[in-house]
Amino acid sequence: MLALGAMVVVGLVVASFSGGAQLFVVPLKLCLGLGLCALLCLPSLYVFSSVAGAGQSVRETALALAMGVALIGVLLVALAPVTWLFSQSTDDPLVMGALHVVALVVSATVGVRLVAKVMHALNGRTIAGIRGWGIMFIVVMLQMTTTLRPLVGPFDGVVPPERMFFLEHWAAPAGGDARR
Amino acid sequence: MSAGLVRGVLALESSLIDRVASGRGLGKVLATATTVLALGCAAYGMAMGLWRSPLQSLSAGLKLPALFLATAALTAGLDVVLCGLLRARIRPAQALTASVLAMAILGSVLGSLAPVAAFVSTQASPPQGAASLPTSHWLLTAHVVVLGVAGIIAVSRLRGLLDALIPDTAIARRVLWAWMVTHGVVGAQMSWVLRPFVGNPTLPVRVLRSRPWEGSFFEAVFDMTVARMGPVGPLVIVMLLLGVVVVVASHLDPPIEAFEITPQHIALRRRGARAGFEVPLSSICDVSRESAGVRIHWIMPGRLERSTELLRLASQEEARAAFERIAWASGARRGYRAPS
Repeated sequence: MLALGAMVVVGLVVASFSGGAQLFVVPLKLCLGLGLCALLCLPSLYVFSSVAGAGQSVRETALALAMGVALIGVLLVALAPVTWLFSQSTDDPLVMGALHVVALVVSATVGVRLVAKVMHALNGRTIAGIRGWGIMFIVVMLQMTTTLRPLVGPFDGVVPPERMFFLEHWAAPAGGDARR
Repeated sequence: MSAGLVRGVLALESSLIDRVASGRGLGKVLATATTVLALGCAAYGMAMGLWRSPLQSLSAGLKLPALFLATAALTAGLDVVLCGLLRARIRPAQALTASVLAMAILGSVLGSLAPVAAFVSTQASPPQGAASLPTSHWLLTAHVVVLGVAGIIAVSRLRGLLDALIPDTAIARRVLWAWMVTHGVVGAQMSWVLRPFVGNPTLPVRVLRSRPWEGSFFEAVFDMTVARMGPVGPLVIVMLLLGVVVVVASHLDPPIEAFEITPQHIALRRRGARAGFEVPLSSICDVSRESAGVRIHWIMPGRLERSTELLRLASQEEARAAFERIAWASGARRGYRAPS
């Protein structure tokens, strides 16, 4: 609930750049996106940690992941005033998109570290492989930002017009008007 | 198939290792491991083919488990023979179970990554003829990397299992590398026969290529290296492989880290080994000193092969003392050779 509440706040700040329908759509998209990321990566977190010798249950793994996701939300809310400040002083969606991505990667890195610490506490020892899993989690989050585009730019429908990998999307920002 | 046993397979719990070591109830372990392997690979296979079409997804979902099950079946006999040749002294059922358990771990890792792979497949640019070839190559490369990572995780767990089953770490490592080579070669060729998995966007969707048995994975790699790097391409690949072989060979025999003489045996333990192994004093046929080390040779009763091991010590004085103790204990003074 904390993560969802935080994402609503972050969504409002992100959408404040474009305004209009985005103020309603972006918070929903961010809540949905973060939840989907967690759901997609939960099986691999459980199996990777089990293979590394961890003994926690699926429920405990889900709780550890939920704690990490909640921390990501809280950190994004903490960074929201900074990003809002920039959103008021620039009208370039590329700059804003890059800023949000940096904030997301920093928050996700700290969130993954919390997941690793919770796993350590649950098992009484460091569980190998969580960092590798964390990289995958961050990549999935970055892909989700492309899947749910546009987040920063003006409203262009709920579903994006074409499928695209996030690196592909970043590589052609000028042609695609950076609808991140 | 109980949930506890599935979890035991995933984590390779000590109770499961003990069960394999004792050889009790291996059939149930084998059945559980095979099921985990099949389900995990089916899920990942479906995610692989999802980019091309639902039919490709279904086909790859059936072919990926078939690839690993066929690899396990085709190499089962060789695995057992290699264990015998390398003096691993484990029963065929134990060897087969260890091999399938490692594959089950690979399957579980692949299965857990299937949701992410499916997500990526559904988000990549859709297949649109020749224009989508780079995307299909990119996806295929990503899947090969994921399979490689899953394989590395499985091999690292197999190493722990073999260390627990085979007392001598050097033999356990030889078995591990021998299995890796055989499984790698057979698996690569099976993947060639059962292709396509991702699907070529310029060809119609098919379960198998029109002539699946024509050519081989290694011929394709040879042709590709010649096309990309010219005539020196295969030479570069061979040099790289030789480098890998040299590195592997230099790590096959970890040195003896500790030894202890008991009334009946010399207990030896290698560096990095979980447990040691024993050499009966009565089987020692020769002892010699080599600078700051002692070399012992022994022939196990009823065996033809002669084994040798070098015990490295900190100084020549320690080596002299160790030599005297071992030679006296084993009565093998006739093997004495003064250091030059």
